[in-house]
Amino acid sequence: MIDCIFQLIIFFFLIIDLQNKELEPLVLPKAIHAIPDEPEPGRKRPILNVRQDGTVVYRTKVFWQPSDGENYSKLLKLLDYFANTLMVKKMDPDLKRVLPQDALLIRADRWTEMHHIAKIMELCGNQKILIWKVELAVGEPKDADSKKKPSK
Amino acid sequence: MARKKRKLEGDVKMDMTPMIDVTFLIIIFFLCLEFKTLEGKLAANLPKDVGVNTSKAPPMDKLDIRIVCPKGGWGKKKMTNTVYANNQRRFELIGHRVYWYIGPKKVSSIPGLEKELRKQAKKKVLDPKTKTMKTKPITIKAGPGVTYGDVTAVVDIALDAKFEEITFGGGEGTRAQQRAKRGKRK
Repeated sequence: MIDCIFQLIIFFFLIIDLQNKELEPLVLPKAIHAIPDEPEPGRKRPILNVRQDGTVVYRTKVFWQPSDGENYSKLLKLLDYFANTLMVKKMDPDLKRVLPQDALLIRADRWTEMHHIAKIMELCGNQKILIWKVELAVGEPKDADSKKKPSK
Repeated sequence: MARKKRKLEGDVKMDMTPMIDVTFLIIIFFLCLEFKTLEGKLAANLPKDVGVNTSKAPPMDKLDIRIVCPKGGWGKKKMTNTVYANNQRRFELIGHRVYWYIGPKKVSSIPGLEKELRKQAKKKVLDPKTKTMKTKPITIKAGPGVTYGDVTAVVDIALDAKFEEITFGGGEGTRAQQRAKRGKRK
């Protein structure tokens, strides 16, 4: 009986973990000085996934793909939602403006062209959005040997 | 009496249930190990003072790092077995190479980049806001054909050299866009 309950608990844990839709199956570049990604429990944080062809995915939904060309309206709306709904905002003393204080986590494949990520960053600078903190997702080196040199 | 004892000995059966349970647990444990991959992040900033802005930004010495992918530096695509949701196969780039410009100086190897950035990190500048000496703010600009991995490698080395402020400059388009531009000019 107890065995069965344990099996069920583990099964549901696995199911919940696999349903973590925030993270696309991407191969991230490795970095030595990465801070471990430990999100605050219960807090919604924006994570944008960028596939190799530049397709931008948020919670399994596509917000930009190469066929959209210069039409970034969906992505702009999404960033606006992040900046004005999800993120905590504070008055910036230098600029005398209210700016989002949370960071946007960008996850991209190691071979994704940087232009696609730079475009997201450019959109972050939109006057209605003004997200200025970004975090680049990287993989942590698994063993001590790889900590000696950055792998590319 | 002897017959009863023999009967009891003959009835002994091994209970396989706990063994199967343990086996299942081990299988699930190893499955979990596969799914859990270590992830980290590198913090960076974007320019805050963009667009219409009434505040005056005090001038400050900055360090520009430009990453350039030379002609033929993109490498060859080697398709992997990973397939994305849009049925696109993931690729690896074989022979991909880039070089860097730190200010006007060209650097063509990772050890050279590390050495140059450590040297630059020693040159402190006065922060006009806090009136303290600190490392120069870095702006990373990526040219066409430069990948996310190339940029995170530079950020990683810059953090190792103790640079504190890392920002990103605008992109110069993808390889395809650059090719299209060149075609139009011709």
